[in-house]
Amino acid sequence: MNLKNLSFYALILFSVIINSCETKVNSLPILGERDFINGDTIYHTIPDFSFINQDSQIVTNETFEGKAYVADFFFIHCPTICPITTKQMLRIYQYFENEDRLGLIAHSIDPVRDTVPALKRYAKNLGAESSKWHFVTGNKRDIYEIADDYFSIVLEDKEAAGGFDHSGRLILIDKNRHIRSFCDGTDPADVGRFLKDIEILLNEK
Amino acid sequence: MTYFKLFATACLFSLLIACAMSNSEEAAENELKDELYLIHDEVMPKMPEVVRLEIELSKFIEKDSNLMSIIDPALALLNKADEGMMSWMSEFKQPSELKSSKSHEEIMEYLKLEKAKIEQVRLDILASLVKGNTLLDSLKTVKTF
Repeated sequence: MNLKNLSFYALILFSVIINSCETKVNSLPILGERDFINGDTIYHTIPDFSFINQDSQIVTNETFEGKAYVADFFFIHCPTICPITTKQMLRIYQYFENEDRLGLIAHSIDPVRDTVPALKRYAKNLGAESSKWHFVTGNKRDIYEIADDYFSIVLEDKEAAGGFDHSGRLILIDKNRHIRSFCDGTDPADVGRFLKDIEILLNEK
Repeated sequence: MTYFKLFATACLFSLLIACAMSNSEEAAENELKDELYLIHDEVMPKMPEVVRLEIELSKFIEKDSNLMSIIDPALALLNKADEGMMSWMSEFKQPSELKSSKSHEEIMEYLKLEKAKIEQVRLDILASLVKGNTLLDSLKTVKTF
């Protein structure tokens, strides 16, 4: 074997070694509490919910059957945080606009003022298709209780009011109602990382 | 020609003075608006706790209606604080929205009034949380549903 062939095979071997050493993320962890029953791991799942969207359609867990979705909490007259997070939700919406396996749901925490017509106008101004991005309202207690459920998983500070704080977090839920990722919706760089997490989730086998 | 130069110079100075005044007026409006937002930003994060207390105290009444007379006063304070903040935010107008219809002096008066309103909302929120949390703690000690 001459030097030229030896160098070629060494290069091939080197490439194989380098590629097998790379850490590729193929899946996201399942977040939240878990129980172990009879050898099985039982992960926290998002409880049943039922709200009304901007088209007066009822939105439940079944609306996202077979899909992943991104959830956030907002209200139309929020002067500071919500406009920033909604802009980032729009970014996610546009990035995955043609991806049928992902939906979005924005829960209003001000059902008194964020009526269905108000949500309709708000969604229309954003250019959001209601079949993909649901702006929902409903019973205030139901909204806050499900917010508590989402945020009790993602917040490290359990002392935060009811587990839900007004910090603009966006949460990724998979088709099995498990929380798989979250980000700070006021931080574009963190949302960039979140976009990659969504892609990882959608590509999971 | 000399008169024309004098006139042109006077116009230029007037324009510069008007711009300076406009900038200082806007600065004053923004400063007052920022003071107002500081008050808002202090108590807005407490809103979820206000709502959580409303929910928790309501649950006690649902389980035992005899508690209504004890719980209602605290619930009323929390409801007032909750509604106070949400309605203040929905009604508040930015100075930029008022420029076309109000003078600088009117905008400053408006902002001063709004600052007083949000300060009252702040006091309502803080007082309702103290009363609500104290009552909830005592109910949890006494009642185990």
